[in-house]
Amino acid sequence: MSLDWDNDPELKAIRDEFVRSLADREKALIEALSSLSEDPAGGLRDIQHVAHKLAGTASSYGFPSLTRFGELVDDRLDALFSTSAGGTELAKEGEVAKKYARALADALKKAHASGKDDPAILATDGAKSLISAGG
Amino acid sequence: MTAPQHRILLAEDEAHIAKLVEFKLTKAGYKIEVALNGAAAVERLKKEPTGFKLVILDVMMPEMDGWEVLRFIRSDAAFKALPVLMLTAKGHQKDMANAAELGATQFLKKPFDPSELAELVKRLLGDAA
Repeated sequence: MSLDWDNDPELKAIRDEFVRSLADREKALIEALSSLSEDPAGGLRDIQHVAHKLAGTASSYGFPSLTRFGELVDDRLDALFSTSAGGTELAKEGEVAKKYARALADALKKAHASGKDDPAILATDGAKSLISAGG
Repeated sequence: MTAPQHRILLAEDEAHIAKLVEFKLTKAGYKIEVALNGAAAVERLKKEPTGFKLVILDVMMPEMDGWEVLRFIRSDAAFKALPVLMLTAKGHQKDMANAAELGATQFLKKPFDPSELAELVKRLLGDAA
Protein backbone atom coordinates (compact mmCIF):
# COMPACT_ATOMS: atom_id res chain seq x y z
CA MET A 1 0.00 0.00 0.00
CA SER A 2 1.63 3.24 -1.12
CA LEU A 3 1.15 6.55 0.64
CA ASP A 4 -1.55 8.83 -0.70
CA TRP A 5 0.29 12.11 -0.09
CA ASP A 6 -2.23 14.34 -1.82
CA ASN A 7 -5.56 12.90 -0.78
CA ASP A 8 -5.06 11.98 2.85
CA PRO A 9 -5.30 15.28 4.82
CA GLU A 10 -3.37 13.91 7.82
CA LEU A 11 -0.57 12.61 5.63
CA LYS A 12 -0.49 15.83 3.63
CA ALA A 13 -0.09 17.81 6.85
CA ILE A 14 2.82 15.60 7.93
CA ARG A 15 4.48 16.07 4.55
CA ASP A 16 3.90 19.84 4.60
CA GLU A 17 5.62 19.95 7.97
CA PHE A 18 8.60 18.09 6.53
CA VAL A 19 8.78 20.51 3.59
CA ARG A 20 8.76 23.44 6.03
CA SER A 21 11.65 21.78 7.89
CA LEU A 22 13.78 22.05 4.76
CA ALA A 23 14.16 25.77 5.45
CA ASP A 24 15.54 24.98 8.93
CA ARG A 25 17.97 22.49 7.44
CA GLU A 26 19.10 25.09 4.91
CA LYS A 27 19.63 27.57 7.74
CA ALA A 28 21.66 25.02 9.72
CA LEU A 29 23.86 24.40 6.68
CA ILE A 30 24.47 28.10 6.15
CA GLU A 31 25.40 28.50 9.82
CA ALA A 32 27.80 25.55 9.54
CA LEU A 33 29.29 27.10 6.41
CA SER A 34 29.90 30.38 8.20
CA SER A 35 31.82 28.58 10.96
CA LEU A 36 34.12 26.65 8.61
CA SER A 37 36.95 29.18 8.46
CA GLU A 38 37.22 29.48 12.23
CA ASP A 39 36.48 25.85 13.13
CA PRO A 40 36.79 23.53 10.10
CA ALA A 41 36.28 20.31 12.11
CA GLY A 42 33.19 21.62 13.90
CA GLY A 43 31.74 23.14 10.75
CA LEU A 44 32.27 19.93 8.78
CA ARG A 45 30.70 17.87 11.59
CA ASP A 46 27.67 20.16 11.52
CA ILE A 47 27.41 19.86 7.74
CA GLN A 48 27.64 16.08 8.02
CA HIS A 49 24.94 16.01 10.69
CA VAL A 50 22.50 17.92 8.46
CA ALA A 51 23.40 15.76 5.45
CA HIS A 52 23.09 12.50 7.39
CA LYS A 53 19.65 13.36 8.77
CA LEU A 54 18.48 14.54 5.37
CA ALA A 55 19.75 11.37 3.69
CA GLY A 56 17.83 9.20 6.12
CA THR A 57 14.58 11.13 5.84
CA ALA A 58 13.96 12.86 2.50
CA SER A 59 13.35 9.83 0.32
CA SER A 60 10.68 8.54 2.72
CA TYR A 61 8.83 11.79 1.97
CA GLY A 62 9.24 11.50 -1.80
CA PHE A 63 12.48 13.49 -2.19
CA PRO A 64 14.98 10.85 -3.46
CA SER A 65 17.29 13.47 -5.00
CA LEU A 66 17.71 15.23 -1.66
CA THR A 67 18.47 11.89 -0.04
CA ARG A 68 21.09 11.16 -2.71
CA PHE A 69 22.72 14.58 -2.28
CA GLY A 70 22.72 14.09 1.49
CA GLU A 71 24.32 10.66 1.11
CA LEU A 72 27.06 12.05 -1.11
CA VAL A 73 27.99 14.67 1.49
CA ASP A 74 27.63 12.25 4.41
CA ASP A 75 29.77 9.58 2.75
CA ARG A 76 32.51 12.05 1.83
CA LEU A 77 32.74 13.44 5.35
CA ASP A 78 32.41 9.97 6.89
CA ALA A 79 35.45 8.91 4.86
CA LEU A 80 37.32 12.03 6.00
CA PHE A 81 36.55 11.57 9.69
CA SER A 82 37.25 7.84 9.63
CA THR A 83 40.88 8.71 8.93
CA SER A 84 42.88 10.75 11.41
CA ALA A 85 42.63 13.87 9.27
CA GLY A 86 44.70 16.71 10.68
CA GLY A 87 44.30 20.47 10.65
CA THR A 88 45.61 20.96 7.11
CA GLU A 89 43.32 18.32 5.60
CA LEU A 90 40.33 19.64 7.52
CA ALA A 91 41.01 23.23 6.42
CA LYS A 92 41.39 22.03 2.83
CA GLU A 93 38.14 20.07 3.00
CA GLY A 94 36.49 23.11 4.55
CA GLU A 95 37.30 25.06 1.41
CA VAL A 96 35.90 22.32 -0.85
CA ALA A 97 32.85 21.96 1.38
CA LYS A 98 31.93 25.57 0.74
CA LYS A 99 31.03 24.54 -2.80
CA TYR A 100 29.06 21.35 -2.14
CA ALA A 101 27.40 22.48 1.07
CA ARG A 102 26.24 25.69 -0.63
CA ALA A 103 24.85 23.62 -3.49
CA LEU A 104 23.01 21.44 -0.98
CA ALA A 105 21.68 24.54 0.79
CA ASP A 106 20.43 25.85 -2.58
CA ALA A 107 18.78 22.48 -3.26
CA LEU A 108 17.01 22.65 0.09
CA LYS A 109 15.82 26.17 -0.64
CA LYS A 110 14.38 25.08 -3.99
CA ALA A 111 12.69 22.00 -2.54
CA HIS A 112 11.21 24.11 0.24
CA ALA A 113 9.81 26.55 -2.32
CA SER A 114 8.45 23.98 -4.78
CA GLY A 115 7.53 21.15 -2.41
CA LYS A 116 8.76 18.74 -5.09
CA ASP A 117 11.73 16.52 -5.74
CA ASP A 118 14.04 17.82 -8.47
CA PRO A 119 16.67 15.45 -9.90
CA ALA A 120 18.40 18.47 -11.48
CA ILE A 121 19.96 19.28 -8.09
CA LEU A 122 22.31 16.35 -8.73
CA ALA A 123 23.52 18.00 -11.93
CA THR A 124 24.83 21.10 -10.16
CA ASP A 125 28.60 21.61 -9.99
CA GLY A 126 28.55 21.05 -6.22
CA ALA A 127 26.86 17.65 -6.54
CA LYS A 128 28.90 16.63 -9.58
CA SER A 129 32.13 17.32 -7.71
CA LEU A 130 31.07 14.77 -5.10
CA ILE A 131 29.92 12.22 -7.66
CA SER A 132 33.15 12.46 -9.66
CA ALA A 133 35.13 12.11 -6.43
CA GLY A 134 33.69 8.64 -5.98
CA GLY A 135 30.20 9.09 -4.51
CA MET B 1 -7.59 -5.25 7.85
CA THR B 2 -7.53 -6.79 11.33
CA ALA B 3 -6.30 -4.36 13.96
CA PRO B 4 -3.65 -6.19 16.01
CA GLN B 5 -3.45 -3.41 18.64
CA HIS B 6 0.07 -4.43 19.66
CA ARG B 7 2.05 -1.66 21.31
CA ILE B 8 5.32 -0.70 19.69
CA LEU B 9 8.05 1.50 21.13
CA LEU B 10 9.76 3.67 18.53
CA ALA B 11 13.03 5.36 19.52
CA GLU B 12 13.81 7.98 16.87
CA ASP B 13 15.17 11.51 17.32
CA GLU B 14 14.30 12.67 13.80
CA ALA B 15 10.78 13.93 14.46
CA HIS B 16 9.76 13.75 10.80
CA ILE B 17 10.61 10.06 10.55
CA ALA B 18 8.90 9.41 13.89
CA LYS B 19 5.70 11.09 12.68
CA LEU B 20 5.66 9.21 9.40
CA VAL B 21 6.27 5.84 11.08
CA GLU B 22 3.65 6.61 13.72
CA PHE B 23 1.14 7.53 11.02
CA LYS B 24 1.77 4.42 8.94
CA LEU B 25 1.83 1.92 11.82
CA THR B 26 -1.21 3.46 13.49
CA LYS B 27 -3.07 3.05 10.20
CA ALA B 28 -1.94 -0.58 10.21
CA GLY B 29 -3.60 -1.02 13.60
CA TYR B 30 -0.68 -0.69 16.01
CA LYS B 31 -0.31 1.58 19.01
CA ILE B 32 2.92 3.55 18.81
CA GLU B 33 4.82 5.26 21.60
CA VAL B 34 7.65 7.53 20.53
CA ALA B 35 10.83 8.15 22.53
CA LEU B 36 12.93 10.97 21.10
CA ASN B 37 16.22 9.60 22.44
CA GLY B 38 17.69 6.33 23.63
CA ALA B 39 17.58 7.19 27.33
CA ALA B 40 13.86 7.93 27.12
CA ALA B 41 13.32 4.57 25.40
CA VAL B 42 15.11 2.73 28.20
CA GLU B 43 13.01 4.56 30.79
CA ARG B 44 9.81 3.53 29.00
CA LEU B 45 10.94 -0.11 28.91
CA LYS B 46 11.90 -0.12 32.59
CA LYS B 47 8.54 1.36 33.49
CA GLU B 48 6.62 -1.25 31.49
CA PRO B 49 8.80 -4.33 31.02
CA THR B 50 5.98 -6.29 29.37
CA GLY B 51 4.26 -3.33 27.74
CA PHE B 52 5.65 -3.57 24.21
CA LYS B 53 5.60 -6.27 21.55
CA LEU B 54 8.34 -4.68 19.45
CA VAL B 55 11.01 -2.00 19.74
CA ILE B 56 12.10 0.00 16.71
CA LEU B 57 15.47 1.68 17.26
CA ASP B 58 17.25 4.34 15.29
CA VAL B 59 21.04 4.10 15.55
CA MET B 60 22.15 7.72 15.81
CA MET B 61 20.35 9.34 18.74
CA PRO B 62 21.37 11.77 21.48
CA GLU B 63 21.98 10.75 25.10
CA MET B 64 21.99 7.00 24.37
CA ASP B 65 22.40 5.73 20.85
CA GLY B 66 20.56 2.74 19.42
CA TRP B 67 23.46 0.36 20.10
CA GLU B 68 23.47 1.23 23.79
CA VAL B 69 19.72 0.69 24.00
CA LEU B 70 20.06 -2.64 22.20
CA ARG B 71 22.82 -3.71 24.64
CA PHE B 72 20.53 -2.78 27.55
CA ILE B 73 17.66 -4.80 26.08
CA ARG B 74 19.75 -7.90 25.43
CA SER B 75 21.44 -7.75 28.86
CA ASP B 76 18.15 -7.83 30.76
CA ALA B 77 16.35 -11.18 31.05
CA ALA B 78 12.99 -9.39 31.08
CA PHE B 79 13.49 -8.38 27.43
CA LYS B 80 15.22 -11.48 26.15
CA ALA B 81 12.44 -12.39 23.72
CA LEU B 82 11.52 -8.83 22.76
CA PRO B 83 11.97 -8.33 19.01
CA VAL B 84 14.12 -5.33 18.05
CA LEU B 85 14.12 -3.73 14.61
CA MET B 86 17.12 -1.47 13.98
CA LEU B 87 16.93 1.43 11.54
CA THR B 88 20.43 1.66 10.08
CA ALA B 89 22.07 4.16 7.76
CA LYS B 90 22.32 3.13 4.12
CA GLY B 91 25.79 2.09 3.08
CA HIS B 92 27.09 1.77 6.63
CA GLN B 93 28.10 -1.90 6.46
CA LYS B 94 29.37 -1.82 10.03
CA ASP B 95 25.84 -0.98 11.22
CA MET B 96 24.48 -4.21 9.77
CA ALA B 97 27.29 -6.24 11.32
CA ASN B 98 26.71 -4.53 14.67
CA ALA B 99 22.98 -5.17 14.51
CA ALA B 100 23.53 -8.90 14.05
CA GLU B 101 26.29 -9.11 16.65
CA LEU B 102 24.33 -7.29 19.34
CA GLY B 103 21.20 -9.35 18.86
CA ALA B 104 18.87 -7.21 16.75
CA THR B 105 16.05 -9.28 15.30
CA GLN B 106 16.02 -7.42 12.00
CA PHE B 107 17.35 -4.23 10.45
CA LEU B 108 16.00 -1.84 7.85
CA LYS B 109 18.13 0.64 5.95
CA LYS B 110 17.19 4.32 5.97
CA PRO B 111 15.65 5.91 4.07
CA PHE B 112 12.86 3.36 3.84
CA ASP B 113 9.46 3.16 2.24
CA PRO B 114 6.97 3.45 5.13
CA SER B 115 4.88 0.70 3.54
CA GLU B 116 7.91 -1.60 3.54
CA LEU B 117 8.40 -0.88 7.23
CA ALA B 118 4.76 -1.69 7.96
CA GLU B 119 5.05 -5.03 6.13
CA LEU B 120 8.22 -5.88 8.05
CA VAL B 121 6.57 -5.05 11.37
CA LYS B 122 3.61 -7.26 10.50
CA ARG B 123 5.95 -10.15 9.69
CA LEU B 124 7.92 -9.69 12.91
CA LEU B 125 4.74 -9.68 14.97
CA GLY B 126 3.13 -12.54 13.10
CA ASP B 127 0.38 -10.31 11.73
CA ALA B 128 1.22 -10.73 8.05
CA ALA B 129 -1.62 -11.96 5.86
